[in-house]
Amino acid sequence: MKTLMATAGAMLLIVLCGCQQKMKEGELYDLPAGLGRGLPYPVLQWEAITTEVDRSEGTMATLFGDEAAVKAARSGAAYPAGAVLGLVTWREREDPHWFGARIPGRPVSVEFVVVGRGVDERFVGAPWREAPGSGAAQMEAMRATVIP
Amino acid sequence: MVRARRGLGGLALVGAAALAIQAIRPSLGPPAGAQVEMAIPPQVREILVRRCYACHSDQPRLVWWDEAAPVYWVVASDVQRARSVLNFSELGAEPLARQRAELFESVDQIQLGAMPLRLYLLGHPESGVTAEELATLKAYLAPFGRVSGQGTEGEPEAIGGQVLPWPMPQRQPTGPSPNGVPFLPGFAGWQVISTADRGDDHTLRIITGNDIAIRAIQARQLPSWPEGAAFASIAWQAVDDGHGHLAPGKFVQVEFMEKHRVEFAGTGGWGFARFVGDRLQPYGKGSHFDNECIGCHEPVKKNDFVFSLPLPEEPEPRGLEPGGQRAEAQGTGMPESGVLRPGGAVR
Repeated sequence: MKTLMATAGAMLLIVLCGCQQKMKEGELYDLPAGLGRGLPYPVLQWEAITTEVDRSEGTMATLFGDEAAVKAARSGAAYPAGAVLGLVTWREREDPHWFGARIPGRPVSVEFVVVGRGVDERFVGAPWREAPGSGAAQMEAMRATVIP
Repeated sequence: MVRARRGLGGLALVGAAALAIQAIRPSLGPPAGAQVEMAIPPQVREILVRRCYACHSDQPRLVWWDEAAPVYWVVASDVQRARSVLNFSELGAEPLARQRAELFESVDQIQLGAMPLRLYLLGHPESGVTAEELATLKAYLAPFGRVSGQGTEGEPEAIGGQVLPWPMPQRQPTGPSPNGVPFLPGFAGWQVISTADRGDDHTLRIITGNDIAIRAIQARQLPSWPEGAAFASIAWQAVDDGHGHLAPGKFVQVEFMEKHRVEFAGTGGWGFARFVGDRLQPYGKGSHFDNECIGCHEPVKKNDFVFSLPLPEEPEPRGLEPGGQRAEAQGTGMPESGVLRPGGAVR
């Protein structure tokens, strides 16, 4: 009887485990798009100012800003000196959940501009390495689209 | 002898009952809607007719074993439900954008394995959509087919080469969502969990998550999102500058999902809401309009009904600190995350 119950218990456990199919991390998070470590600012923790797509390059980019930058952008004011902008560019990939959508794939670059301080740093590659930045003017010209 | 007679009698009774129930037949005749087919190429229509029309049309196709009650009752109820969700015989009467959206959703449901229904496939093993058929449907819809078109993405709003974004003129919607799900005013201050370039409806989207959602991502808690987690999917028309460079134009809508297992038990534990256009007009008619939402989200049930794959949070977000006031002093950029229902205040 004990054996029978143990067997039944074991079978029930197997069935239950079978139902609870564990999902892979890649099915739960956009793993390829992670920025990892090595950047000077926690850019993904900042609020978004706007987002753009370059179909010819197959990339999508989102402009983030620190508190001062976001506040200025959303009120239509000029960025104050010292405000920091971060432009994250990803290669696009097909959204596995939505036919017709593209979502962030592998990161291409992250560029930081400190307004009025002449600081423009671009990070490329994996692991990140610094390269000369040239997008300051373009980044500062991007207008806010996320308005609370 | 008596026993045998009794057995026969029982059998006859069962037979009579089986015959009698055949009289109970809910009608599957054509409903009252206008019969307008979509203007689509014949090879696309053939696939829809072959694979979808059996349930999603006014010409239901039943095999002989579907015809006998009680199986017929199940089939009839399935067909009625299928038609109420999507009826290809009548879809042609809808605006083109709606037709296109329905076809995209159909492809989605097929490729995620939600359609045809598993139970239906068991009874009709030959009804599955083949990979070739799916490829034909996708090629026809071609969401990104018009690359670098001249202002093909939405209405061009570019003035003097510069795209003018379209801020929302007011911050509160004209009313609550018909299902009672609230507008969540802090969404612009939430952290970004993903972005999307939507070729199906020519929008650009930013998806943000409240701090409960962000903490769940950081703790790698998925697929189960915690109570109170909320998302906002903010959509703008994608405006092409003619060189394949897309920027957000006119604001289209903001959609919310908020997790409350008990309150929204009928829709997978999520409250769905959509606020459309500059006036933030609540979307949907009647308190059960959100059946449409959960119907669309059903194929990603294993992801707790959430389509977005969130950007993974780096375990140690504050990296180098060469400049003293850099990473640490910049704050976390989430000043508004606390406004989400402090003690239920927002709701």
